[in-house]
Amino acid sequence: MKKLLLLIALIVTGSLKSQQKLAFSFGETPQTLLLNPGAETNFKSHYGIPMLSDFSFNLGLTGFNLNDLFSNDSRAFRTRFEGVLNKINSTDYINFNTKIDVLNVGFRLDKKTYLSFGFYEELDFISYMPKDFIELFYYGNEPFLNRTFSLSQVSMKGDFLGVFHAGISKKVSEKLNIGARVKIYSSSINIESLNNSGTFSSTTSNENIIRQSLNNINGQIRTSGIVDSDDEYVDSPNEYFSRTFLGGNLGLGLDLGLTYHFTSQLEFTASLLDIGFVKHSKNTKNFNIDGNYTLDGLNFEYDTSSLSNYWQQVEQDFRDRVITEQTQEAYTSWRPMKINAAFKYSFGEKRSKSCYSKTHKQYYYNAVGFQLHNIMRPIKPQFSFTSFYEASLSKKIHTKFTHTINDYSSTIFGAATSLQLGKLYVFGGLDNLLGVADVSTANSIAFNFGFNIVID
Amino acid sequence: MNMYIKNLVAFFSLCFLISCTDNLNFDEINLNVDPILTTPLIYFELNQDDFYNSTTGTEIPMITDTSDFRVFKSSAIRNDVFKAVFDFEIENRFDRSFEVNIVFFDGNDNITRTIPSFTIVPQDLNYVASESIEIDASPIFLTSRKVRVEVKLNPSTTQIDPNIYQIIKFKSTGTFHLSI
Repeated sequence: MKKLLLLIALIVTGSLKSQQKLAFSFGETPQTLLLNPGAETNFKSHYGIPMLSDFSFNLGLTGFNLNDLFSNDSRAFRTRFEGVLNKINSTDYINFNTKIDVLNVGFRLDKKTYLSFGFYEELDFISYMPKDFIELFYYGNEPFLNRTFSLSQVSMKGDFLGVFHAGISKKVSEKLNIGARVKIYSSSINIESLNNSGTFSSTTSNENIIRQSLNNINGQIRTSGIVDSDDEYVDSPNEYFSRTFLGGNLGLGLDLGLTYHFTSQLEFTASLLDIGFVKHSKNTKNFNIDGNYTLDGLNFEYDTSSLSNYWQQVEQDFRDRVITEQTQEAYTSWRPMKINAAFKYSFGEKRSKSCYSKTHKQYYYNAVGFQLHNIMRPIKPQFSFTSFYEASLSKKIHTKFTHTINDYSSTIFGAATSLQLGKLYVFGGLDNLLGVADVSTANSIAFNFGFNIVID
Repeated sequence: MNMYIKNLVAFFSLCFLISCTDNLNFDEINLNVDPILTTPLIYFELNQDDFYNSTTGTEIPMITDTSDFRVFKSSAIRNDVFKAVFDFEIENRFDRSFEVNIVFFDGNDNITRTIPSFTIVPQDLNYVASESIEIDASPIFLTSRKVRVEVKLNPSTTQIDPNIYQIIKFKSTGTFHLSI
């Protein structure tokens, strides 16, 4: 039985698919500190293996899956595309996030204080489905007389940045451990189009057969890093990477976290991550549109005394009423703040393990609990609720099994493990066991793993 | 330790193997986008006094107006449009019949398309007409840069009376079928 559980644990570790939130409040790995700076640590120091200490990848989409678009059946691709277009709504989204921990080290300052610092690179992208404008582009406006197309559905944000961080985890009392992490963001690329408003419509009219209207249009696309100081588009990957090392637009962030033991068996952990911003002042290029316009057509006046160029008049009138401009103004971009919280009740066989400075920590072999995970996103927060069961197979092998309900699905079953192989700590997890069988029908694909040297 | 690592590597591989994306076909991704764009075009309202010369006290039998027509100045439209449809709605509250002639010209005032004339009888309040142009059959239409609309009163014993408010109302749209 124990071998079977070990086998499962190793599958999970090697599966390369999990979500980082699986690692929250789990396993006493060094990377837990990146998810909760107030997590308890029981080691003297740690050294992340460069580029491998923490790697995560997450691709998710709501409203449809790959099978809806690319199923190998007799239907034309066009039919499948139209089926997807019919299924999605404007709050569905595509979300992509990957993090590579380049450097991560930590050491114990004293019995109560653990310091850690490092550098990671992050690529994060989310775009909601602007269904109105996809349909307008795909079908045109002719089939949609008297329908309103909303610009507010256009909402997206993409970031590529490097993050330098330094954190402290401090034991305040036997019950409470708190922590904080300061971050310096170095943004290489930022593209965002947020808080757009206004509508486009083609309606029946008394003046002409139809009338086209732009009502209270207010839209913007803000970018930094895609053009250089000469307003030329940057096409060198090296330049994009080099700007993540303090060469880009800089920002400041803060993580906060705590661990609180109500009793020796009941634990509460919580963290707020990426409370921060980036000030984009270098290499910015922004596009704005603002105004109202009503088009009835070319109003022929048959005035022989003053011939008019009606088309030119319409174009000029449009330019006067709908202001479009490109600017290089600085702007501030907020990081997507994450909120994590977990309650855990430990039970079962009670063991103790040696920790730093010849102290011992007592722990239970089993635990159950639930956790909340929330990311602030442009249109609405992405919320997950996870219930979990943890089991330690030995002092060196810990496993966690989860059930998660979120935007992607209500049947996400996951598992994670952390292993201690000598001084090498390995962790990983799989957050969608059912999705492994056929990724094409899953709404999310994710994995997370890491290798660290830990000195007890 | 070695056993653990071997198992780890084995199951990394195993997981990739058991993860499958069967039944997906990326070879036949061929999406033609065929939007149909419709836009208001020319409209006007003419009263009887638009056809009356108050200086000479005589009828003006025909009036004409012209505008640029820049739909096909855009190469994106020019390259992708395969059909243009013009719809017309005309309301005639005059006691006279009249004729409407619509002609498109290129930048050098050469005719690129003449829409067949419409004759609207007196008091016809719901005259509708449509003209469809297949670009393959009339590629020269893509060189159109101007449009002229003539309104011609047909001869009649009933005279125009500028003191009576009666109108002609003309409306039109252009619908452009694209294949992108």
